[in-house]
Amino acid sequence: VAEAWDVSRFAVELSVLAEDEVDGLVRYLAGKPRLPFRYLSIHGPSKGRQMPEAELVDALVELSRWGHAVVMHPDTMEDPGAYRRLGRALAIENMDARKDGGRTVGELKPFFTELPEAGFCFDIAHAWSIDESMDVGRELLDAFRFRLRHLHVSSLAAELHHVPLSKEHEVLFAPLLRRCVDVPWILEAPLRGE
Amino acid sequence: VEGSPLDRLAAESGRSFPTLLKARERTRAGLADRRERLAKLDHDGDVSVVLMGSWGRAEVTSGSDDDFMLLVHGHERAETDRIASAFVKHGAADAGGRALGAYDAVLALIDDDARRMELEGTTRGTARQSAAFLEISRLGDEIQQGLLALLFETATLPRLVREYGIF
Repeated sequence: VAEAWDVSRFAVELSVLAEDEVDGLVRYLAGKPRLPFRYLSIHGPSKGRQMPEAELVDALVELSRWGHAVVMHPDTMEDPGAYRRLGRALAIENMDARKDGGRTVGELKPFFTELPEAGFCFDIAHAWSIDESMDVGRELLDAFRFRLRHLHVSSLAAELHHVPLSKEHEVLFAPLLRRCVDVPWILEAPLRGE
Repeated sequence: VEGSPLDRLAAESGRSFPTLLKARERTRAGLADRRERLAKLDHDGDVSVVLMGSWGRAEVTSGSDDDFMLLVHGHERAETDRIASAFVKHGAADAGGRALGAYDAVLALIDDDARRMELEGTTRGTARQSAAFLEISRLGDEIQQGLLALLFETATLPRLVREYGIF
């Protein structure tokens, strides 16, 4: 948190790596002093899901009381309709090339149809991993722009993990980023060293 | 006697009115200055800025303020129309769609009797347990984000906001 505070006092995203961390995070966020960021996103568990989905949604609803958005990966949602209770707090993130679904407009549309209030978390590097021309990214933004809640911004290394935004990608992504200046940007890697 | 009725009265009565005449000159110069500056601002052709009070009486002094109203020719424009127009005009349609979409959702929430009752019964102590409060709070933040982007992230408005914006 202190490191994030040094980068920006505007927005932060806290991740729940595993389901059993949810309760601890709720206690942390409910404690005082409150986190000072103006926008708080919470990334739901994305790996090793074991908890029954209804129980996980209960925990996420409790967690959502302390943040602006709860981000979920569509490939971890077995029954999307179960997440309807999160309402506008839920944000669904587009996936990268390693995943089998949730990557394009066609693959995400069924989730948003099932979850009419859900928002869109646009991971611009994930879109790049699908299509380096950024046409897929443009299509995602065109289709879901009115659901857009916040961005994930970074570049991706060869094995698709997040790395600081490269100068090349900064230029490539700029036309899409300019359409998103009103929503928070979460940096998924440290700032680029100059 | 040439000039205004005040000039004629001065001539016939032998009483001069130097402060009134100075105020008239100050008003004339001030109007010219404001016309020139306002004309440089981006504006609709059917909008008039009407100055009132001492400006209307041509009695502007160093202590006068600028009381004014905006007159728009044609149909009355709803506030949301003016805001929507600004988003479109300044190339921020996406942000405008999100901001006014959030506002639309606020109205829908307020129009829902059960949720409105829930809001009315919410206190500081119960706020985080109220789904309606949390939702309207998020919507408020989304509206604010959109308006801030319009005012501070578009190409031309930030300069005008810096000069004329009052919050």
